[in-house]
Amino acid sequence: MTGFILSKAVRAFAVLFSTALFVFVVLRFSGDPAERMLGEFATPEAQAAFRTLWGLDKSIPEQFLIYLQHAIQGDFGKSFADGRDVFDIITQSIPKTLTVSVSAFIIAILLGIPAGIVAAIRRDSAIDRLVMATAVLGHSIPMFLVGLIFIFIFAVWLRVLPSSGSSTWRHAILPIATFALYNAASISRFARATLIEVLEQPYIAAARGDGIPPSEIILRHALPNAAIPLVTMLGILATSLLGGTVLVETVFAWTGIGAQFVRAVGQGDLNVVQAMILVFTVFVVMINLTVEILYAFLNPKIRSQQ
Amino acid sequence: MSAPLLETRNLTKAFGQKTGWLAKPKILCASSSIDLQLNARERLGIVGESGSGKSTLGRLILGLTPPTEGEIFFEGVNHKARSLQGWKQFRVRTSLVQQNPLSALNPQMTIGEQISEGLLVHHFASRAASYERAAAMLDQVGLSSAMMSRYPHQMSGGQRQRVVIARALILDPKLVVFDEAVSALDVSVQAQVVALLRDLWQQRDLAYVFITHDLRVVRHVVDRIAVMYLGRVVETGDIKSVYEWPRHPYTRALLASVPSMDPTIRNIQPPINGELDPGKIAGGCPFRPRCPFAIERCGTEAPLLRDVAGQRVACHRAEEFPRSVQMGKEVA
Amino acid sequence: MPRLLTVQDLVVEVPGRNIKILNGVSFSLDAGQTLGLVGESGCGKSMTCYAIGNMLPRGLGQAGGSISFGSGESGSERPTIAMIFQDPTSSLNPVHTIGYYLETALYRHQRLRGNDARLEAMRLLERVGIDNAKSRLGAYPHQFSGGMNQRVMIAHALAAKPQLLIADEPTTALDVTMQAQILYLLEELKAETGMALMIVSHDLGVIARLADKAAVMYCGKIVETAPVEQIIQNPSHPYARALINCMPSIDPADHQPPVPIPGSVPLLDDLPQGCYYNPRCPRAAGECFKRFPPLAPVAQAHNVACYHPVAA
Repeated sequence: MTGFILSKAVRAFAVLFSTALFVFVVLRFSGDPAERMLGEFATPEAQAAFRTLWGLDKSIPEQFLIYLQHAIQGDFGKSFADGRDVFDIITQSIPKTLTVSVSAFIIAILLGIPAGIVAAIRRDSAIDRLVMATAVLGHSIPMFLVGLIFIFIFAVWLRVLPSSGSSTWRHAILPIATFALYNAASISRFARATLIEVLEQPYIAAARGDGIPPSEIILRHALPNAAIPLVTMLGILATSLLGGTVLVETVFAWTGIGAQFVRAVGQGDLNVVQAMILVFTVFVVMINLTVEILYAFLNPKIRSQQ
Repeated sequence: MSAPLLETRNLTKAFGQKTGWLAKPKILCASSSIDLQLNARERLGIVGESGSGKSTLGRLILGLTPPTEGEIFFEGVNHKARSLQGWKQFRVRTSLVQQNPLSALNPQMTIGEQISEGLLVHHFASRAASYERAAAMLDQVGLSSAMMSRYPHQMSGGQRQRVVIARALILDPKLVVFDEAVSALDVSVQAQVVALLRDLWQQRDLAYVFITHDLRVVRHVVDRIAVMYLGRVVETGDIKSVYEWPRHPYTRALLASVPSMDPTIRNIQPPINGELDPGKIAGGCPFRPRCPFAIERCGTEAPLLRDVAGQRVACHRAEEFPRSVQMGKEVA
Repeated sequence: MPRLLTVQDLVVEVPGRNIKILNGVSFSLDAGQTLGLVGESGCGKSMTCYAIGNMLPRGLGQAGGSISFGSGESGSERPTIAMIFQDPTSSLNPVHTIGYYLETALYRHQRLRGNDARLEAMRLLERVGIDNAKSRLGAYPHQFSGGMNQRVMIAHALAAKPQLLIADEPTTALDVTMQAQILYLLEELKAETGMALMIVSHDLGVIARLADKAAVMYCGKIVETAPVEQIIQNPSHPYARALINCMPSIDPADHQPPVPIPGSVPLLDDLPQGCYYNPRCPRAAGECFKRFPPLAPVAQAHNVACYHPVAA
């Protein structure tokens, strides 16, 4: 198992490095930051001074080596826009984003999986129809619309929660609810479909023939099998968490990483974009690693190959 | 005599199995040193347990997987020497029928479209003419042309296998590989397909390789049989003489394992125990670990195929076995 | 031998649609006896097993008839029934070890746990012909061949100490050499434990080998039932006879190719009027097209549902 995790970690590092290189090169070919930052009417002298200031006049390999040297020491440069330390920008906005996305994800799992299980067990019953109708609704209404509906109900009409901003925990409730509802919808639909498929397998029929009580069939025989595809699906969903919050953060004026990212891309703030993509990559790589480890733990076919 | 339709020389296919991250792949042979010849209109059966390499042999013959070693000649042309055009011609002159007719058919195409597809992609006929020929082909396999507009899910298993056979024969191939083509069918449908195969073969210039684990069916559809064990042919000969006097203990065990229709034959010890295990090849005869008749020599010297009374047998003791196989009497 | 099981006019149907998967199936089984059920796919032989084993698939229900145990009086206890299936590998839960599978069954049926359960699981594995039983307890089904998994299924069935073992096409997915081994194992276990056996197969050779009496099924009905020698050597129903003629012979002296039955099995929602076999039957006439024939005796313990049975 240690060898397995080690080999995965080596691969994760390789992914990180190649992403950093790729993003670095692509960003430097995607337009001149000097022009975008200073505006098209800036004098050539001013632009040249800007390039020298940020080291953009050096060759790309040279720039990358310098960047790497600093990055290893935790220095990701400064924002072109306001000179703030990129490290600070990220460490300030990430906790905000994680608050929304991680709590929404956990709530979505806690809501979606049991709902899916109940729907699968009571297939074609009223409960099943209710759960699935809610799920289809939650999945098909665009997230920003759900957000606006929530703002209307809870902030404008009932006046129990603030509509936007990010100063207190009460500001976090509506963004979390919006994001959780959307994810819970897809999780419950997937959990239901997976469990139904497992329940139709011959070994479940055989277990029923053995007289094993239904609750035990679900807990011991069906769920461990359904968990395997479910973990894969949750992994894919989790990788979209950071991206997905951009919309929610915009609707609720929540100053997370999403808002910063949109601004930085628009302004060509290379150091900020570069660092944020690296953060996204680390996040995705970590999720994939978790999924693979969980997968090996859940699936004996994978485990026995190690 | 003219050159055979199909010939394999020293055909070997090794599969590697990776056991660890950096471990050297373990070599598992699916077939080794197989020399076969098949003349035009000849019907060859290949039998053996699962894992004997019989399906791999079928795929090798059709060029669906490349051999590790050895050569395959079809109509005198080496597979290795075939150009893209040559392969195209080869595909027209050969075809494959597999076990599960439902998964072999496209659920979104009508039967007529699927049967005539071969004619269209090779530009052998116009759309109208190819439809006509497909309808005629359907009639030859015993289905009404009303089936042309149906979809696979609207047919029974037996009808689907007839459609698969019709599709395989529409280009009038010289060689067809049937890979467990009747194994999944009910006995009554199986009997229908066997009768159909016998009829079609009568009417056509067709040779085929019939791969199966069913020793009862194969006997009624082939002229010659090859028995495979762990990638090697251990006995081959005329179907009649092999069934009358099997010379290899593995052939004898296979035949003695078939349940007889005599209700008085009961409580019969199995002729051989265990199952085929590629991990156990250690030199000597590959069948030795399970053979009730193994002697010391079998452990040191691998028997080669040799002539024994008109059959080719790879066993040191081939001459010692009595004429007929009896249930329960094949245990040493 | 005391009566173990009586099935009377069993009907299983798809609710809401007029499709009867089992349409009045009646038979009985004595303790220690072996009954063979023969027929083609869809004839209801497996469904009969599922109904008795209390595991009808979702959406199907018993719509009539009765399954009674023992002497048939109310209060008769349900005998212990164990089942094995056609595809052993998919009938075993892929995430559980062989040891877990056997030990939980031993707890359920014999209240064995801990080391006792472990030892008994090892003994059972050895009994069904799996060597190195100790190390195999930690193995998963995907690490075993089909034949090995069928042995595991049989060991699991034995853990229940069944009075009746239902074997649904237990050797159909296996190689002929493995089939011979499993059939012999079943013969031995039957002699050792005295359990009754219901064996389902489309292979008359398997039925001939194991069964004491056999029932031939067609479209959800039993069309002939008799001691197995009668069914194999002297079948009365034209369908039973045709089914036997379909079996390709392995006897080198018999060159007769299998004789196909013309036509195909009708769909259950489109059954012909009268006897369901009449479109394929060379003997069909008159009454055959009006009513389905009742199962009537033609000899001792030999019943046939046919107006024109083949004479002995």
